[in-house]
Amino acid sequence: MSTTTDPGRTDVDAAVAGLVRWLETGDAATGLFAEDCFLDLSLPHWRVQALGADGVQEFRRTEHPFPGTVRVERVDRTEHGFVMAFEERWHHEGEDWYCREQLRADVVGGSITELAVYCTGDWDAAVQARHAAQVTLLRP
Amino acid sequence: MSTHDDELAARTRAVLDAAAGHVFGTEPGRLAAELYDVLVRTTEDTPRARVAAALARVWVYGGHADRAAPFAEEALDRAERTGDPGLVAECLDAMLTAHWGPDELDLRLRLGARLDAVAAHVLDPEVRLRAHLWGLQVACETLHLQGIHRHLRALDALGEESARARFFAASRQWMYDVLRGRTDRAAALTASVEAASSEAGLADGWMIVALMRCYTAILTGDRTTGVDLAERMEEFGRAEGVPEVVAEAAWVWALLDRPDRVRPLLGELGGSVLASLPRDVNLLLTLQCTLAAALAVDDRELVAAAAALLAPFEDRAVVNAGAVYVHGVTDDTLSRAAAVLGDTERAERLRERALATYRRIGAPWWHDRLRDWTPPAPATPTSPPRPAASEVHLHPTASGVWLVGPAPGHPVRPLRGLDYLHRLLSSPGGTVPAIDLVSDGSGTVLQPGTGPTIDRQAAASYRRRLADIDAELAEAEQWADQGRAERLAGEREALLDELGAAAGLGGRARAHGSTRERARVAATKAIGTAIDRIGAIDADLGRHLRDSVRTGSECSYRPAVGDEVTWVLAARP
Repeated sequence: MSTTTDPGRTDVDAAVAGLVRWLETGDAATGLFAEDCFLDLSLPHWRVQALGADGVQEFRRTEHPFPGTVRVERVDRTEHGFVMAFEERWHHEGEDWYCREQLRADVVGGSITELAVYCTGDWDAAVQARHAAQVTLLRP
Repeated sequence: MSTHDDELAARTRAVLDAAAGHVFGTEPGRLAAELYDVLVRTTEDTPRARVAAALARVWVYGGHADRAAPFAEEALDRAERTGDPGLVAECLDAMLTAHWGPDELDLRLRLGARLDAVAAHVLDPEVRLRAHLWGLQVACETLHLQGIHRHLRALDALGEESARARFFAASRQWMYDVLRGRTDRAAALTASVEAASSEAGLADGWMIVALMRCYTAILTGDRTTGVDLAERMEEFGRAEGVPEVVAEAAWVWALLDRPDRVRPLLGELGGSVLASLPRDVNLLLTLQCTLAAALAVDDRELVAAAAALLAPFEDRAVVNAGAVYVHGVTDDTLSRAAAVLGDTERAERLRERALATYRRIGAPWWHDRLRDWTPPAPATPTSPPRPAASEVHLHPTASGVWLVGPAPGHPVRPLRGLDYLHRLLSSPGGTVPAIDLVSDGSGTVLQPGTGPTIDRQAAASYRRRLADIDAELAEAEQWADQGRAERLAGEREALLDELGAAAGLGGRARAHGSTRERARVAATKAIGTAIDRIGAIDADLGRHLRDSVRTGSECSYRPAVGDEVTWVLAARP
């Protein structure tokens, strides 16, 4: 049984909550991303990167400006931060979109210094419907 | 506060309300995922402690105690930072819930003492009620009489404040009365519990009332009521698939001297079932009841299996969750098991200690029962052979339960392996590909992907043709038609290749062997489990199946000459 307070754990919890909120709304709390934050995003057949708190946020505004909902499936704290598995859903130009992601984040002093994101790519309604028709997931 | 914060606060209240209504022993469904999603968005200590504590309880109530501990620990950590004794008490309750297994009694003693101290400074009667219930639970587990008396008195006093507390006060007083051999107040206490349960709107209050009536009836010799309630207990245990209730029903039938009702229930607990029980709140209860019931019907195989699992817990009281009922001490059943299994020295040592414990706590019913028990006659080296001409059932019934074993058959819960066995027994001498057994109609193994692949209809057609080929192959081999057998084997191989070549998820080429390998492993495991279960019901039949059934990429049932069985493979009208 552990009853001691781990300040690192609190920092990580705050970073997770802040990141989820940013993904859903586009609003980043002050200090969520470190000034030298580095983003490394892997997509199917593609890879992009961004540098700096402003650079990371600008990348999101440019590439994925849509507010939506995040469902967090699991967060594991690591020595340097956390790993998070989640899915995103959003609406754009009359269509519902979906993607699944896994990210590894390093956290220092409550700010995210590095984000490595692995994403399925965006699934439009047709892909989601085809998937639902063809695949029965063991753990939906 | 922003709109976002308002939304999160509303969601938090909603999931906590939903968690408060979660009934012990039921699957949490989406509740755990909802709580988790709220937890990761929450940073303030108080709501985060509440959500983490609720999540810990939901996992334990849903039978996944192993997932609960980290959340309970975080809840307590956060609660301590707030300095709010009510919240600390709530999270200590979550900690105790998450550490309710038989290996964690020392931790429960420490946490219970802490909760007792914290709750003493809290006015909220619900917090004090929980503290005294945990205190009573731990005092019963350690048979600490002064502790039991103190917490019963405290519950009684709380009963003046709420119907909910009255429910617990009266039901636990009944528990202690019955342990001490008193039944004169049982009817009045049961009526009080029923009234309090109704007034407080307790969802599972009826279960406690039924249990009180059942044991009161048995102890007072009211067989009619006892049988009626044993039927209900058995039905509930089977319908919900709850091993501890099935085990308790077996024990109750044993107390009612109905071995015919005990044996089928024990059949459901044999094989690998006991060994795979989680080490949670119900482990000792399930093992104790199973062992007591197995002793009652002299099922030595199960006596040995249950006693081996219970052996690490010598000198322990067995308490149904929440101190609802005390099922004696483990030394009692273990001493009788040792006597049956021929370890007389250990049997005598444990018996003396159990009798001393029963004398110390003043439990005459348990004491006299053990004192007067005599071991059955020594077992014969092997169980009597099964009559060669007897019919043996293996088929599902209309209710979904399977009937297994020599006529009239024992009811057994459905198992995938029983389906596979049934298919093999339907064509003795033939072979059935494991892939065909496992994937038949489910699509689990062969999951069409996005790349070039055969479609579902084609796959189903291929599988049907494979089944026909198996039958034709058996016929060709029987007629020694070598040419036809080779042609059919070639066709069969081609179809298997076609099925195996279906693309995997995401269009990746599936390794040809992997699907068949998964099917082989799945079929072997399922059939092995089913045979273990059958062996627990009828050891001879289990041996026959182990000797006659071959599993692998291809599965078959080929009984040796002279060892054939007349199977009944369909329910008779």
